[in-house]
Amino acid sequence: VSDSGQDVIVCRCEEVTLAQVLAAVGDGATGVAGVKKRVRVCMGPCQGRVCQPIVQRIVAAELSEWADDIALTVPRSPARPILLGTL
Amino acid sequence: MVAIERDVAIVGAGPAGLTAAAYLAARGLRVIVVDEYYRAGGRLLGQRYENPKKPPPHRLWNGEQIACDLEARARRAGAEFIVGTSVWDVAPHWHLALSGGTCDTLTARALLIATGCAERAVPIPGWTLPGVMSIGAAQTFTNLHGIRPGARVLVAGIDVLALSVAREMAQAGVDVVGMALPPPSPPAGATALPAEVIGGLASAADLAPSLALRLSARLFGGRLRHVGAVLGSLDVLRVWGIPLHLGKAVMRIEGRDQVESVVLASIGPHGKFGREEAPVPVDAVCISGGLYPLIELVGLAGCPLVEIADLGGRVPLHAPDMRTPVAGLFVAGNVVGVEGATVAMAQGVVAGASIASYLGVGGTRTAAELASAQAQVARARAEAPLTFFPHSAQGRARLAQRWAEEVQRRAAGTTRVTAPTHAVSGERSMP
Repeated sequence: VSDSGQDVIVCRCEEVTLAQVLAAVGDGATGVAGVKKRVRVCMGPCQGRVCQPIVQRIVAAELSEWADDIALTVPRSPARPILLGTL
Repeated sequence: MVAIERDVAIVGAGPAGLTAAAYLAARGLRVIVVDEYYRAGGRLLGQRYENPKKPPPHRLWNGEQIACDLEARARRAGAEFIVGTSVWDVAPHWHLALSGGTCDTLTARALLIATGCAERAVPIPGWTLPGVMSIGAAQTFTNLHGIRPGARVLVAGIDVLALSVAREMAQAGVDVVGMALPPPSPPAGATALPAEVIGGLASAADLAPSLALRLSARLFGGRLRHVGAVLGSLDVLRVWGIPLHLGKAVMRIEGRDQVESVVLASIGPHGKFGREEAPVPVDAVCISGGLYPLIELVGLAGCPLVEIADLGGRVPLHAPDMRTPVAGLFVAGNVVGVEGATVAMAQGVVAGASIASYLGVGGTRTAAELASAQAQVARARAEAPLTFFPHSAQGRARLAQRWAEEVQRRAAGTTRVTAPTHAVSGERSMP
């Protein structure tokens, strides 16, 4: 990835950039959950439907591992955005 | 608080959920299907293409019509539908939490999860500008709603689905200025490497009328050392009149308040960048990054998940008859691996027969129907006009092996499946 491309948004819901994801990996994250706890990827309305597969591949590339060896987050409730009245 | 109770709950009214609903309702079971969209049909609704493998009267695949027919058949048999409603939680045996509609909870003796798949996004600088959308959104706009995604559209990502949708947009009067690859980056993965992309197009060779594409896909697919030599000539390749830039990547999407242009650059066969070209004016960009199974609810239901890249990502552990290790939980359709709608429709019948058997309905006839439905899945695979993952057969073999191991473990009485076994968070060097 070129330096100029590092401000590209990776997580749209929480507006997290590629640079922030890379910094989280530099800080010790080895799975999607570790990046999530540091920079809030996967924590917006889509709950990672858009960014989780992207983050998985970025972490894999940074750690020189296969993407399917990078742990994804455990599915949690609520699985979908819900109405306030439902709560 | 509105609560309802049925024999079988089905999540997802796509091709798999609909055929399962029709099968089960016809056997006298009380079936209810829940879907988030405002109408049944799932991804069938946007599908409209010709399959040259079929004889002329059966060539046109009109997904919306097929969806309407399947829904009507299920309703005639007695199945009920709740649409415009999300399932946001699942508790064992089986309680579903709903949101968005008039019903809040749904209780059932058996649960079929047929949630299908989602699109993989590929971040390209500028991809959050209005006017950028996924290829699936472009398909739904064009084929279902009759709305052009833009006047001048560029497609980022060259794969079988993107090719098909680009053609549909062109037929609808959109000026599709071309198709190019996403910029080489970790998230784009193999979708940005010309050598890999050309190999992947081999599975679309039957759909593409262009002899040049057919030849390039068949001759050069997988033979990396030849790709560099032919890349220059491929760059001017046109399919259905649409320029296919197999040697160029979309480096940036530009615009102030919405998409105004894209900047392309040439790339080598293994992803090395070349010089950027002058901006190409467009008002919409469609990004195609492939599909992956939607497994959130399967995970919440306690089914173990297995990551198999050749099936699209994490898939639920399941038997050939669509049972999972969790009693009363069944799966069907693209949630078990990304394939075409005809395979999903056949899998829905398999799951239906398994559920009928689980609930003690139908007797010996159910066993025969299960066997014939499984044979239909194999036929649908053989006749599929295109393949999303070229090595899906190996992926299914790996999953079958995992299932066999699971059965062995359970026979030995060493384990009882209660929850997914994924590590919550890997961290380096914890003190």
